[in-house]
Amino acid sequence: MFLPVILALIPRFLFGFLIIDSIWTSKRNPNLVIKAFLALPAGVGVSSLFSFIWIWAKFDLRLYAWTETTLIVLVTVFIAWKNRRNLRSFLQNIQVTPNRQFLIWSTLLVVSTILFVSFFWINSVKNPHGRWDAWSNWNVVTRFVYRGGENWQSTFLRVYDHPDYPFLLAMSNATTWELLSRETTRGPIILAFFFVLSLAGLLFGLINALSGPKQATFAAILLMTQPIVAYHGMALYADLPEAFYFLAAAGLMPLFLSSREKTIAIIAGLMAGLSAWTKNEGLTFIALNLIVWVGIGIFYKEKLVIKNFLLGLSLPMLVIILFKIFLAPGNDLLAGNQGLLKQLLDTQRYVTIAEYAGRTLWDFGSQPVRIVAVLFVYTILAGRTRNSTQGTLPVIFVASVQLMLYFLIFVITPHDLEWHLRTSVSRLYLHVFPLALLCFLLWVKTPDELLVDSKPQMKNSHASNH
Amino acid sequence: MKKIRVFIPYLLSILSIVGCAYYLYTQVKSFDPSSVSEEMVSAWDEHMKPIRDALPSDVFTAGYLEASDIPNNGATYDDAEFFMTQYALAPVALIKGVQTPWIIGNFGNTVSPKDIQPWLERTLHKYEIQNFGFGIYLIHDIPE
Repeated sequence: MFLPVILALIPRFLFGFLIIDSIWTSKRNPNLVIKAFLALPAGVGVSSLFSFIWIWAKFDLRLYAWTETTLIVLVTVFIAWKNRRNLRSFLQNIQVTPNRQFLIWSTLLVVSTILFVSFFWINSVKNPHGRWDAWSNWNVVTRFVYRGGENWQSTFLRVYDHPDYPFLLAMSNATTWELLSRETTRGPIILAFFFVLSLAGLLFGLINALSGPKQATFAAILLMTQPIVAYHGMALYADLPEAFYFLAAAGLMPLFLSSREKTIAIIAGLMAGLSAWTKNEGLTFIALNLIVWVGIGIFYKEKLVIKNFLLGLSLPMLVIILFKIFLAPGNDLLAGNQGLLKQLLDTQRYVTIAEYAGRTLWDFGSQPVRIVAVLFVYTILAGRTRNSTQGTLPVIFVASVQLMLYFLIFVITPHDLEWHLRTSVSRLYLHVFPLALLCFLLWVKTPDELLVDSKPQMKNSHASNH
Repeated sequence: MKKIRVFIPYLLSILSIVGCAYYLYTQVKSFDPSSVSEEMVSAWDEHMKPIRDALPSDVFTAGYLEASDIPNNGATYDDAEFFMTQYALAPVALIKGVQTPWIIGNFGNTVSPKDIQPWLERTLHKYEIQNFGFGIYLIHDIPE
């Protein structure tokens, strides 16, 4: 069932690539890497928006799935045929000049990827339906959409924890099942796998474009060797797709500031919108991104980027607003909390949350070599880069304010605080973890800088030996 | 010192890889292939298939009862079983209680049909009950 699922996802990968490439026409090789890793999440995201509107209008999802797939394949073949000469010369011009460092970094990356893939698949075999939230909140909706046909809205009659969760994952997996004409747990598993792979690839791509391939490989290794990343992927939760869209939306800010390609803001807007179509946490993320893009527009006198960000945001936002107004029941965190003021004034809650958040941060990654310690040691020993990248401050702002808002949610949660902290703090950290890695690795020295730093001393020590 | 610093990214990468490999090793060591076939959600899905087939195709809501709903029973509510049942029976939405004509009874092995019969008769008046094994029943509340 693996190959048919992959085949069912390829058209949406192509769809995403066509969308991204038609908006952001840059043909620089590092940017093509970014586009390649943006493609599948962009494709499934936009496809899920259209398919949702389609079934809401009482049309058949199977008809949508096959129409979309056929159109994308035809358009791709047409574009590839039209650009066959460019495509051929592009493929002929791809050159890799392997040196010793390239081989070492490539080996480390391959080993990390093998470990990541092994961890993911062992746990997927153990939990083919994912972990608790996957079958109680996410994939159950996929079943309502796929099995329910025109009665899919009975999903809103369910008793559930989070009644207003959006539909990105449900529609994406239901579309895959429609194309395969069968329900298979491999569908959600393979989509989750590609989301994690796209996350690592996008982090690589962004840092590659801004700080070079070695730092980018270092980043991808650090990300993929955190078992929590593979765990949340195989758990089939929506937190890793959310982390992807967060990285895609905010991670494009430094890229815009270094290139000033204004259409990047359209993609950032689309990705921010898709984050809110994945999980509700994306709604505050949109607001923070909008503040930053307005700031960038005013400070750098690039007002067009504000319009572009809103343009990219418009389609997902329209669907989210319609969904929230006409379909989704009330939010469990905002509804039914009688003691809001009491909770806000309870200082002990702040202490409990801060203590738990601190402990979870130290343990974050779930592996014996703590990622926090690794980053701390690297900062002390390597120090700050001389080639600082513009745009890391806005990303730090977005990530840290998002975390503060999560903190506030715990203060006002109507659920049992201990339970809420235990079940969600690590995955909320996961949302901003790739952004934190991005900022950190754009801020510290790269392996190349460390090599340059060491050269005078190497010469001196060579001289003193003689 | 500067010479050593060149190797830091490599060392930290290797350290992170070794940590991840060790974690994976502990996972593989504790991996029991036989546990896969007994995986809880898949097994529950299988148990629920006959109920899904038995429910009329135009039913999109069903009630849900379990042992803890029967008075003086002493059982505690198991939300994992409720959510697994919901997952298995989608697109039928489960509503706790007996307000709908079709009701899923998940009474486990501790409660026998004889134990619940008096309570069902008082609550539903006239009904049909089908036993699907594993303590799972499909109850049809017949309107008078």
